[in-house]
Amino acid sequence: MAREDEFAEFVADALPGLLRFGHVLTGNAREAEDLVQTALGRSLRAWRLRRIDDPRAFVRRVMVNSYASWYRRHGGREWLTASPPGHARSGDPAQYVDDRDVVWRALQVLPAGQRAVVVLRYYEDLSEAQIAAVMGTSTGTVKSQTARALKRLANVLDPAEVGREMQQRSGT
Amino acid sequence: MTDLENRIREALMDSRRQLPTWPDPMHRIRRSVRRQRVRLAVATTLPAVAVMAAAIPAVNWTLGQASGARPAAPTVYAAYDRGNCSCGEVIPVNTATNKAGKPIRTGFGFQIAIRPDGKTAYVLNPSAFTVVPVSTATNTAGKPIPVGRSGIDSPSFIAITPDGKTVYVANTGRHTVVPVSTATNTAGKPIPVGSGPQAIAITPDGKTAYVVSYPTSGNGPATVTPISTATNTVGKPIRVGFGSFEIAITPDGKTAYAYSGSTVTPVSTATNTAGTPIHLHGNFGEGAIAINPDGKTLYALTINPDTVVPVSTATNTAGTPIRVHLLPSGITGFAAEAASQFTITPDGKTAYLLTGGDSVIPISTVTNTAGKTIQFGSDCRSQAQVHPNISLAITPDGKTAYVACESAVIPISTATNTPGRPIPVPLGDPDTIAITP
Repeated sequence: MAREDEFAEFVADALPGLLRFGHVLTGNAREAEDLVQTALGRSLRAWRLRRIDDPRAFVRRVMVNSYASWYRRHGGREWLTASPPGHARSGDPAQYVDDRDVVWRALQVLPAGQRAVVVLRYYEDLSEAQIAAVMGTSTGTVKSQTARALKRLANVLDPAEVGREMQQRSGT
Repeated sequence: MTDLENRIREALMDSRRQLPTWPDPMHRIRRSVRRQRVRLAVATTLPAVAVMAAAIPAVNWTLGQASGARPAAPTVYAAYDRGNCSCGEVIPVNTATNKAGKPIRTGFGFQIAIRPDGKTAYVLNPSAFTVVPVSTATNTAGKPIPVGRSGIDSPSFIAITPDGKTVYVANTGRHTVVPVSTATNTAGKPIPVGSGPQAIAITPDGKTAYVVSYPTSGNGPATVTPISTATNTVGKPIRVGFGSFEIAITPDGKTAYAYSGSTVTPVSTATNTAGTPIHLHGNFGEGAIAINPDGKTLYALTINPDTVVPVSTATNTAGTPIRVHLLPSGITGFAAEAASQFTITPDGKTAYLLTGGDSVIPISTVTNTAGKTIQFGSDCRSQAQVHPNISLAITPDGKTAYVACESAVIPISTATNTPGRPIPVPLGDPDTIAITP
């Protein structure tokens, strides 16, 4: 079979998962499509050049790197959201918002590096060492990025919870 | 796992989120790969055409006038995709009036090569494995010429000889180049070349087509295969820098340069041997090269770091890199980084670097410095996203650069570096742009 046909098969199989991953990574459907398209384009080039043992991991890695490097190069701008995250668990029922939406919006305020770490940790279920490998960084950096991200999220979601979360984490 | 961590996990795993669907994903991906390549195609073929026009203007002009078929002002042809499909059309724009004509139904226009006499534009449609001839006199599409059949075929690059007699199409998947006679509009016997042909450059005398290939499997070396255009027979493949995917020939025809994004390898056309690769610092597989029409300097765009590196063709040494910012701040869009293209004016004084953003950076080739970025308006982006496929071409007189954007073609005065009034076109994804001589 021609290599491009193999690649097309892989894409047909992996695309929904990649788009979903792009969506959680960027927090934006359109950007997710852009990122997946770019990453698959780059991966196709690499595919033509050499054999890739685990294309799914390869593409995800390209996605994370493209996302993080783009972010690094363009000033660490934060993504602004249309509406600020609310306090789902303290509002009255009439103003109840699904907690998943609240947390989703809170995730948008994280810088790309922290967001990537969070996505790889809690969406992809990777270990700190695996995350470090994907992002080309040290496990120490992954640890500190995760801690910073969680602290920030807790702060955004409910400032009163920060202390408790930190205690809980250090206790585990 | 803390409560917060669980909430994060649930938010990320939320299955209610709607996912987009891509009806033809490979089409989309190929476009994204090709983007890096066709930018280059434009960048390398355009100066060559410009040089040729300067060298033999009288011949070209007489041919055109005698036939009566050549319009007085050059025509811009901009190819657009309609949505995420393999369909598409080419929009003609009259450069005298800056008005768009009726769309020409060509199908997906991946790349356009125009005959030096300006009579026919050949539109490569890799999705349909065809080349579609478009009469520039009537702006109508002729019968598509098949250059492949199945998914293994992947026509990826088109080039035309200076005499206009033959169109060469690289078929990356079959490791061949397909010659198409423009007299009969039929494809000839495929010519086997190095594994994975990527791009073609033809010497100004029209005698040899140089095809750069890199292997579609394994870790083999990239090669350049010379094809004699008189007999359509090949010479021995010449090894060039790993991963080379782009090629350009100096106006004197003496040297072909193969580019990998990280190395530039000179190939002597007299001996068909490669010289020592010139090392740059960009990513493999990305970037572009263009040769100044004066033949003295080759410009290589590198990605990561984003620079334009002048390379002396006399000494084959790299000069001081010129730093460029391919994405203006405040713009989003990852694909944009791969979209950059640059094109040199026929007088050789300015290189226009189209960023992945909604802007062009003029680079003085006299002082080797980047000028003030030329910003376009909202026609080049939607919802604050850059259109990754915007494309630029310069008129033969060098006075105007045309940029194909999502909902308009934008003329830019090269004298003042200011954008003119946008020429509205039906909304679509721009693929490529070309201008008749």
